[in-house]
Formats: sequence, C-alpha cells, structure tokens
Amino acid sequence: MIASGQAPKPRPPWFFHPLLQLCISVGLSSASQILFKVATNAGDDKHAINPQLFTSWALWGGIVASLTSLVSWLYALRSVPLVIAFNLAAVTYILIPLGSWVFLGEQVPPIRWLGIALVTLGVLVIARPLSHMEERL
Amino acid sequence: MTLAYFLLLILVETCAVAGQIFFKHAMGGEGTPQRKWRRPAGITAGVMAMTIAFFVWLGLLKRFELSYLYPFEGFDRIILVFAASAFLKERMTRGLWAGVLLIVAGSILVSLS
Repeated sequence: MIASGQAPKPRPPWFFHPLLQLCISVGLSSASQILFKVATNAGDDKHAINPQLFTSWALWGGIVASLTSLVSWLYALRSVPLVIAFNLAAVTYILIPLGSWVFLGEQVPPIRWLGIALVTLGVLVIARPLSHMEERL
Repeated sequence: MTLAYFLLLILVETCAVAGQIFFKHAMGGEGTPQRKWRRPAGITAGVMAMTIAFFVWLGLLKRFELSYLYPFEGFDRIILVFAASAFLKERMTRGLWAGVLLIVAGSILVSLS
C-alpha cells in the first residue's frame, strides 16, 4: 500500500534488472578470460609478459570486459542475495572451457571435463555457507 | 604442473581474495564509522593485490591452456573458507568439507589431463 501523497518508485528499465546484470557479469567475465588468453598467445614465447602485450587489442578488450563485469556484479549485488550470485558465478567454470574449445580450439579431454564438473559441484555445494562467511569477512 | 607453477596459482588466488576483502572493508557498510585514511588505504591495498594477481595470471596463461588453468580458480573458495575459519573462528561444517574435497578432487583430475 502506497502512503497518500507519496509517488510510487519508478521501475528501472529491463536492462537494469539485477538478474540480467548478473548474467551479463558472468558472460563478460568469461569473455575477458578468453580475450586474455588470445592476448598472451600472441607475441614471443620466451617471455611470459612483454611490452608487445600492452599493444594487444585483446588485452585491452579483456580489461574493459573485466571492469564492466565488475560494475554489473556490484550493481546486481545491491539487490540479489550473495548466495544466488555465487551459484550463478559457478557457470563460468563451464562457460570458459566451452569458450576455450569453441574460440581457442583447445582440446578438452574427458578427464578434464570430469574435473571441471567436480569443481563446479564443489563451488555449488559451498555457495550457501560461503556467502554467509563472505558477508562477515 | 610443477610445484612452482602451483604456488604461483595459489599466490594469484590469495591476492584476488585479499583484494576483494580490502575493497569490501574500504567501502564499508552503510552507517559504519570510517576513519578518514581507511578508505584510500583499503582501495590502494586492494588495487595492489589485484594488480599482482592480474600479472601473475597473465604469466600463467602464457604457459597453460585456459581450459586447464581456469578450474584451479576454485581454490579462491577454499582460501575464503579457511580465511573465515582462521579469522572469524567459523566452524568447518560437513558441507564445507564436502565442497572443499570436491574442488580439490576436481583440480587433481584437471591437473592429470
């Protein structure tokens, strides 16, 4: 019930729905990792990090994707409980190997998929107690 | 993966978790009294921890496939659990141990691939 004289709070546009922002955050976070890998694949093999890396479009694209993902994450956390956010974030463990296979041509053997499944399951199992701990830390 | 690379991976995850905690404390909750220096000090420490994590991660990405390396990110959950247990004296429940064991078992399988 709205108190008399008080205007109802306007609903934000659909794009700013917290769950959509959470999905955008997860998607961009996965994309950023693939872009970082593209950036490090280029350049010489001798040095892990060389000046050439900083002129790579993929590195800067990854940084922008990563920062945008962080902004979406923080925005979503204003109204989505941490436990839901943690559970949804577990999707990255599947999206990133899938992206590595599709975009980077990495061969993912069955034993690695099994390991990835176990890690994802573990992340889901501890999402609830961990979210309570994280709030207190 | 050699022990040296594994330790670098743990360094990345520790720095990433520390960075998150520094940022969280720097921002503080609403109504939390904040000392003047606390916010910039927390943000600076967070940025430094995240920067270390970023560059070491890039170095590791150069050496390993992404689908191989990324599952080890699950260790950040384990580090958070143990940090909460050490600093907040949180009790380790069976559910937490089960999750930790699944992540470790999964990481071992990934490292064998």
